[in-house]
Amino acid sequence: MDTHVFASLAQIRILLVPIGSISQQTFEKYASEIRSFDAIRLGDIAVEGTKDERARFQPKSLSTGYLHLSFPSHPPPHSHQALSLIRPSQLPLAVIGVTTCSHSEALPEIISQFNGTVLDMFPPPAMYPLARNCFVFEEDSSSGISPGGQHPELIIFPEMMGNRKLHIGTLLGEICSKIFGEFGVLIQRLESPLGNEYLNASLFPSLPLLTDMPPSMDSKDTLPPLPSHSSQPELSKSALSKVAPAMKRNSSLGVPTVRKRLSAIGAASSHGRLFKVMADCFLLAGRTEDALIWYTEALQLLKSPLDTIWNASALEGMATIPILDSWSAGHGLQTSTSVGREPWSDIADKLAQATILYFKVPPSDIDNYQFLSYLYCCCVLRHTSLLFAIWSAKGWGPLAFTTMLQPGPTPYLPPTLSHNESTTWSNLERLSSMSGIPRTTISSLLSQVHGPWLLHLGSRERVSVLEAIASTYSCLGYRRKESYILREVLGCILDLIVCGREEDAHTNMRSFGIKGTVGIRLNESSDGNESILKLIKHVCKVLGVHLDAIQIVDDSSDPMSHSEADDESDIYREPFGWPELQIGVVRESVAVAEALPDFLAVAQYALSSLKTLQEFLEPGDQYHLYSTAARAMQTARRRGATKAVEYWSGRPVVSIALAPLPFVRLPIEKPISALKPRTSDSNAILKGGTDPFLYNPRRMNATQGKSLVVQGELLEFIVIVQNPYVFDMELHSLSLSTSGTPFESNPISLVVPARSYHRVILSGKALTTGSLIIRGCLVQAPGGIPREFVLPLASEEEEERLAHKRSAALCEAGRFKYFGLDSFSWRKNQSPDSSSGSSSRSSKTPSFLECKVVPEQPLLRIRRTTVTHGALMLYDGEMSSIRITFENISLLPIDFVRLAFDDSTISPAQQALAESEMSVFETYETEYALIHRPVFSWIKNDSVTIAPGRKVTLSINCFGKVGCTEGTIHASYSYIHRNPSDSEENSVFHTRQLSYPLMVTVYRMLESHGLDILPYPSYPLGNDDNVMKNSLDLFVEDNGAWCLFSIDIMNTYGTPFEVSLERVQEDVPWGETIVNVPPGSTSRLVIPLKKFLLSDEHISRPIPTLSDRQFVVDKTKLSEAEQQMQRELFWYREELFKCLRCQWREAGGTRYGDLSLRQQRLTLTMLEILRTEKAGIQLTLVRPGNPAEPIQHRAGKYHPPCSELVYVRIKVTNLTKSTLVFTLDVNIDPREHVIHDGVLCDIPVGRLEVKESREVEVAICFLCHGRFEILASARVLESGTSSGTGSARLIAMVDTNT
Amino acid sequence: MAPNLRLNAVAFISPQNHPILIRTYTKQDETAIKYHYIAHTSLDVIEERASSKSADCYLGLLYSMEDVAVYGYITPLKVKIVIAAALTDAVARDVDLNMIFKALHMAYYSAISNPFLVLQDSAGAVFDSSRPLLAGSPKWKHFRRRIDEIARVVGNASNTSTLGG
Repeated sequence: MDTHVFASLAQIRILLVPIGSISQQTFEKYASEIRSFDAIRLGDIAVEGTKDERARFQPKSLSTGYLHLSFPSHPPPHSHQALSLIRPSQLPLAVIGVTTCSHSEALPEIISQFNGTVLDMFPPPAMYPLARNCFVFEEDSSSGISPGGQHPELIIFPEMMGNRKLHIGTLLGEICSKIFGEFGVLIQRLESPLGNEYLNASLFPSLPLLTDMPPSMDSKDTLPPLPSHSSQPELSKSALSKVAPAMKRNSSLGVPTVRKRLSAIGAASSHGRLFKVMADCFLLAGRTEDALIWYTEALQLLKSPLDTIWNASALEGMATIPILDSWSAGHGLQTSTSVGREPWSDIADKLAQATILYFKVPPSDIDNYQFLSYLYCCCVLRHTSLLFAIWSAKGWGPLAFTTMLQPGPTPYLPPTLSHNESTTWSNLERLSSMSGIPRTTISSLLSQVHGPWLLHLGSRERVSVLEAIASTYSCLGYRRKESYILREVLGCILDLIVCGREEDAHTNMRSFGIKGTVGIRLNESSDGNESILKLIKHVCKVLGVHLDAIQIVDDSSDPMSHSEADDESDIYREPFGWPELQIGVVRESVAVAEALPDFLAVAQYALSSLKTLQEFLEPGDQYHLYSTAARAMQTARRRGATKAVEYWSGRPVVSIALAPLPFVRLPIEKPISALKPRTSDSNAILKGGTDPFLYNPRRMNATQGKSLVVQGELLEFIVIVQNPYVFDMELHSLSLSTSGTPFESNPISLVVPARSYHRVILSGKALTTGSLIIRGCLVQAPGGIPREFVLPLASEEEEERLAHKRSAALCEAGRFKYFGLDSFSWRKNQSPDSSSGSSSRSSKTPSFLECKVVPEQPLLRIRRTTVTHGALMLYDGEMSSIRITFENISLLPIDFVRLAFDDSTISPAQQALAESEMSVFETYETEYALIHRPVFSWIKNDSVTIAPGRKVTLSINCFGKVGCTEGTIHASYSYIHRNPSDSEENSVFHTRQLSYPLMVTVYRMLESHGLDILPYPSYPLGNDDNVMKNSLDLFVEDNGAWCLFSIDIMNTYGTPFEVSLERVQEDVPWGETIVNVPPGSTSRLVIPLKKFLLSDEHISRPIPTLSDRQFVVDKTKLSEAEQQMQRELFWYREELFKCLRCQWREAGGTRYGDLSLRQQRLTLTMLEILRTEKAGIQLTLVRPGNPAEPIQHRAGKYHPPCSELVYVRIKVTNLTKSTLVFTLDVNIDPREHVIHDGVLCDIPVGRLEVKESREVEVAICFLCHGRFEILASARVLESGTSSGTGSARLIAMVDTNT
Repeated sequence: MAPNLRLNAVAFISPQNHPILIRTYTKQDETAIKYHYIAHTSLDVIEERASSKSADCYLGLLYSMEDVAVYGYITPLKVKIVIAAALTDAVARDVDLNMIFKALHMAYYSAISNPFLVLQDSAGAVFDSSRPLLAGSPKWKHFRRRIDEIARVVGNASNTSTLGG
């Protein structure tokens, strides 16, 4: 395209065009060969021998200058024809066709193609090109191609030619020579009065047509003589005499028609313009001295009546000359610069002057605006490029000249700027200081170009001018300005694209409209889209918008590949950029990509902006971008795009958690050793610290960390996803990313509501046993590719790692200060992260949510129970049973069922035990209640098996315990003996458990109190037979060995109960007392008990604890005697309860139960009575004689005679299990009416062996009638002290009538 | 005061090159974005100037573009103040411009002296999804009023040829 080189005025443009079917590579190869000649020494130009007007511009022999060539790649727009006189260098002066040919026959076709092409590029009224040639490069020809001779333009390059390059150089010289000849002809035509009038006719004159020229050329005399300092005055004069007959214009109509114009134009026009054209031609011809002379002339003439444009143009030309001279003179040598003014200041002044002149052109015809602004822009750019070249070349020198003379077609970047670090601050500053030109100077010059006049330019010129501005700004390091200008460039290009497309559409419609209604759609060409997108990205980058934040990747790419990439997304990042501008440029980028159209880019840009600028975008914009992206993705898909965008919306997955399994499905791992019988089963229940349950799911979870899931059963994961945007975000698919055992799950698609967290349940099945690791989620946006988001477990280490990372990032952020555009966030990340990031990353792998998949488990359910509504109503102490029917609803058999129970009385008791504030006695009671009186119990049965689909009923015993409000039945079951082969390698088995909660209500209806133990009365209560029959059980023989147990039972309930008290003493006949206790009344139950005696060794045992607790320190401080007494009481009480069984039965009902007597206390007096005496004493009254005659007795009373000697026979038996010494005391009441023999106190009995008895007789005589009572009591003599034990009583009725 | 010195826009730019406040005083509102661009592109020149001559806060004419002349000023703490003045043929004296800049700087200074002003969003606020655009931040209410006042005084002064206050 067009480049704005400083010395473009001195460059002969030679357009290279491909002719025929030449491939681009071939063309480029040959074209670059031709282009390598950018300057030709004048001495190398073959001077034609002609001495006519054509020789005027030919180089003088042995001249030392150079002529400069440039080879544009495109023909100029047709509108530029208007500039052909004022700016001849603007148009290609020669055209070289480049083609290949393999045989001679193709040559005519080539020549016709060449002519056609040239004609197409330069339609008839054009002055140029002055020379045209077609270079035919021979290829693959067997026989040499002969030029044939009839086509002089055709130049054949044989394939075998060795020094082709040299030949090309020669040919270029010839072409130039021809051009110079044509210059001569041209000037000659302008020199004619008519020509001069034409030249002065308008601002942008055109050459008079050949037909307008006077037919005869004798009018040369009217011309003023050329100034004497003309280089070849004679030559030119003679040259004027002839019309070039060789000039074959196509318009050879030959009829002079436009005569009237001649008359209209005055003949006295100044020659300023003519001289200027001449100077231009000399400049092009490389004859700078001549050019300078003619420019000076022209300037003088153009000044007086100010001809601004031409004046300015001449100034431009003059400004070019010193550079050319310096280049050819210095050419590699540093010329010593003059002190004082800068060497280029003169040139700069001229250009500045020209700029002002151009700027001040009085407004004229609107058609000229385009050229005026173009010339103005070119002039400013020329001025800029002068300073820029000097600046970039570090000063006035050969490098600067080279830059300024650089031919096209591609822009030239001086080596000082083309290396990598060219835009660094130091480099730019160095250039400024070395060259002495501050960058601001260049940029302020450059800013003069930018103005509304750019709108007048044709689109092609506009683009090229803007390009030049942008690239200069870029080289100056003014990247913001560059991007500002680039946006305008984009605007221009898009205008062109849209217009071009509309034109295409029109032409299509026209051409096909005739043929019918067939709509034909051209394939959109995507050539060049890439570059436009590149431009957009560049602009956005300067503004801090990272359009590549979302990459476009292949459809098939691995979603796992970028696992770590987004990890830092939540780390604090310094915001960058100017939000208002960013939003604007983002909108533009999306619009541009849409207009191209490049749908993937649309999606990429829209989504990238959503991701990076989310916080600034307004809701409307967000919604627009999102919908645009979605639409674009759909379109791209429809059109068969194989690429897709990455997942974009930050980090959508917040957390993943395994939904807890329903309790009945939860498998619990148990060691296989749990199956072995336990020795101390009962103790477990007492230990408060340990778990009372056989299987506790919660404890397993806490200790193990890995949740257990069952193979083949549905698992549910709760995934929390977030949507920070204002629109409802659609996720095409969301699935779990797992490793470990195969996991079968279906991805789901969902819509996450705007600005919210959303809870999603993902379900799936683990197919085999083993460990299932949930790494994270696979997320796919519509039209995008799936992306894995790894979600490590929020463990402490992970938290620490993240915190560390975050703080490191913050630290880094504060450590370096990035200035200006260097603080791009994405650029910054690359450098410092590499060292620290790798070390931390490699340190450890994050841990993930992990599940242990266990083999398939059977599933049990409770089919039915005998409990209605789950509520159990019990009386205090009631014994009942409930039945639970279990059904196996799985396909696996169950070969292990275990029941465990829990009720509300257990934990308070356990707590009380654990606190151990109770006395030993209470502790024992509590423990006893826990172990021996559980609310629920069952008879353990290890052989329960339930086949698939079958039912089994288990019976559970219930015991009513006051205070129990609820209870739970836990059933654990398993399928243990799956496979006999691998049973030994399993150290664990898994159970599941069923719980059946029960509401329990226990009514207290009978209250017992007033326990008492009385000595058995030694006399009959009466001699009534009825009484004896009624309470048969109350009567016992040998009443001294018995006592009476009595207790009050109160019925506080509403229904009558029958209470029975049974005697279950060993060696004693069974006895029972039954009382019906009506509601609200109290009844006393009485039953005789045989006294018993516990051995000393027995009662001296400490009160036991039922648990295995060790080191139980007795808290209460009791003396030895007290402790002994307590133990005695305890053991006798225990023994007492063993002998009795108190039960109740619902009157008229079926319910029955135990009545606990354990609340009752045993007092010391009761103990005394209960305990068998050490000595058994039997009293009898006998008459003296041998054998002694017993005195008759009735109903327990003796009837001895009065005033007669009778013997009281006292039989003392040692009832203990040791040998004891006894004494006896006898007491007779009333004493004064009795006389006795010997002493009544301390009657020695002597040592009695175990079970030995001895009789002692005391003779007495009753002295009167009446009732006497004889009491004998034994005492044991032990180590000096005597203690009473055992007594007997005898009642004697002394009556006279017996 | 130079006659016909009219402020088209005033921009305050933070040391991190974020816009702090941008006020435009032209008739059409749709040109506001243009002044954003002007302020943004002037950073190029400011960066160059600020590094070379650090003694003076006033950076002089940065560049002129189309119908505006852009002047720059950088505070010791690198807050940049950019004025876009309407481009006229009259000569704008640097002294006058410096005075305007000083006034603007003072206004900014007094605005940030407000202890209740939250200048920098803390890291936590980054996650706040509703972060408003910086340049239009409502927190600068009083500051904005003062800037407008300065611009008005400058505009009036151009009529009366004296700078009041």
